[in-house]
Amino acid sequence: MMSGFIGLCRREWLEHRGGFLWAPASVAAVIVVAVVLVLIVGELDLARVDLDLDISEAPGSNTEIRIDGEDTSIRDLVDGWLAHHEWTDETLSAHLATLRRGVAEPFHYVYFIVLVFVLLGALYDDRKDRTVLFWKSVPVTDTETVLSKLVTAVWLAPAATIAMVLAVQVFLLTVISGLAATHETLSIWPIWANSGLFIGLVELLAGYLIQGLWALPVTGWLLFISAAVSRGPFLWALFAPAALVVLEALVGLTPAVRDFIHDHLAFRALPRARPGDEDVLEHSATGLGDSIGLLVTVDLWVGIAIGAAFLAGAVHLRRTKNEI
Amino acid sequence: MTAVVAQNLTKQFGDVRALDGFDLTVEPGQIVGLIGPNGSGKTTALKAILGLSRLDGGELEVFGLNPPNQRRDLMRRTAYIADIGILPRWMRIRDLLTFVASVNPAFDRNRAEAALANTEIRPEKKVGTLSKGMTVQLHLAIVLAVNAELLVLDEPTLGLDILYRQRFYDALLNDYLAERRAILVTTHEVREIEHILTDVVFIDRGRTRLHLGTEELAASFAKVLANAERSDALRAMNPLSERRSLHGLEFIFRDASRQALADHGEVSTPSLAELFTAVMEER
Repeated sequence: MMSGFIGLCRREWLEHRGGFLWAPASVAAVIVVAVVLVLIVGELDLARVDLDLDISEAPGSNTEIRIDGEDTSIRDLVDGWLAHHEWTDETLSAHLATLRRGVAEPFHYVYFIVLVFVLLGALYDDRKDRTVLFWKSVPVTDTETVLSKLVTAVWLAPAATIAMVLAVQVFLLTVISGLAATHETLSIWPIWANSGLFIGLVELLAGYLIQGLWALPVTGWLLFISAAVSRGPFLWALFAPAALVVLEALVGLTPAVRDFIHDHLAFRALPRARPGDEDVLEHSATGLGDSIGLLVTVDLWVGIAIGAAFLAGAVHLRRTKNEI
Repeated sequence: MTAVVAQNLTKQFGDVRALDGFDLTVEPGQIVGLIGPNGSGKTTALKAILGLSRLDGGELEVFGLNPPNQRRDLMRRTAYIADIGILPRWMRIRDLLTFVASVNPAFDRNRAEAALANTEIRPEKKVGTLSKGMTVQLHLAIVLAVNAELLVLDEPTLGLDILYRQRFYDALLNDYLAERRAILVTTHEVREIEHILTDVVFIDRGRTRLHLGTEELAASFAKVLANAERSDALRAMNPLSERRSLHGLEFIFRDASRQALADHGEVSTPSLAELFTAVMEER
């Protein structure tokens, strides 16, 4: 039973390794290459930069930057900034936390896009290429099949994303340490001590875990559509609810469907989306206590119930609808 | 235990009655050929037996199980090929074998690998790189490596050239001789499989027209080759069918005395293909 489920999850991972692993790996590679390029270019003296930035007229600003035909480089500018900043544990920790979360951001969005397409294809692609009859020739239940697809995409695949985020964070801290080595105002040990790497990792793990529960109405809906339609799952997933909302408006009913979708479904799968535009990941990032706090909100459990209903529908359709 | 017991199965698709009182039994050790023209309900019957679709009526048990409701238990005892050579193209053969082994305790990986060792199929290749014939070999190697009590094959040689067809049935027969499991195979090409069957079931318009052990063929059916002047006498004996051939008229009789027939012409045993045509023409 359990080894069968692991086998199903492994199958999912293999099929979508491109999205689950190589997509975040590419984001990491782009960031690393970009930083290395900046480091190389940054060492070069930019030939006689004539920079005359006068932003003193901007409200609340009295800054004037004037570089008159001196040989300078990005490195010089960074050095200047590092040297003249007041570095305490608090300011360091705050700057590094911003960096840590900023770096994670593109990974969240790439994962979200991958998630949507993987789930929409999960119970559709094998009906389209007719391999569904092969998958059904092994002794697993349709419930196990559907759950393995959900669990792999929602709770296992983020491990690769999180690993890549962590790798890029460590890389950036190493670069910063290298830059700091030449400054007396900043030393290496406080950088790593205030990096928040470990708490950041816990935040990411807890964030994705709870985000997975939070997004269940949307992921359930995507799997349901994937099992239900004969063509165009993406359009169905998007336009079926949109059509309902429009129909409701045309008929002149009170917008119950619209409100329901708005309150309980829409954008739940987005990392930056929960009622009041708070970010689940950021929310949980302020502390594990808040993550766990989300677990006891009614909203979350209503969402889980809706998601479970969609999943039950997906399982039922998987059992009866083999062909396109 | 009887592998398959199907009685009076019915299934309707819109206006079409795909199954209309279909009966079938498959006993352990039998190789049953389910033979019928295209659209006669063969695939619908197999899908019901495999629990892939629900019936509108009738009674169906496979190893005493209800196929659609107990699919997992059913798939532990039944192996099938429903769509020959349709395997996940993105998957490496090694990973495919690992997958089947992880979800199916009845799968003997060594046996599948031994079967593949005799072919040009390399485990590190992706399924998508294989030719149609090789994909079929792979599919068969996987399915035959499952220690199943019942093997179900739906048109297993569709789209294959003659060489692969022959090899396919040779492999199937070798496997049967080693394992003695029940096999249920459908085809619209009688000639291809008549030499390996223990039983034939003719199906037409969703209904079982004939269920016969191939060993009973000679006892139950006779073919008479006669001259035109004998034809009226033979027609009076109520033949199943009559057709003109190069050498005269050919009549096929069911349950007729061979001695009585011998007075009118040359008596022999019809082939399954001839019998199939006769039964289908009888309507």
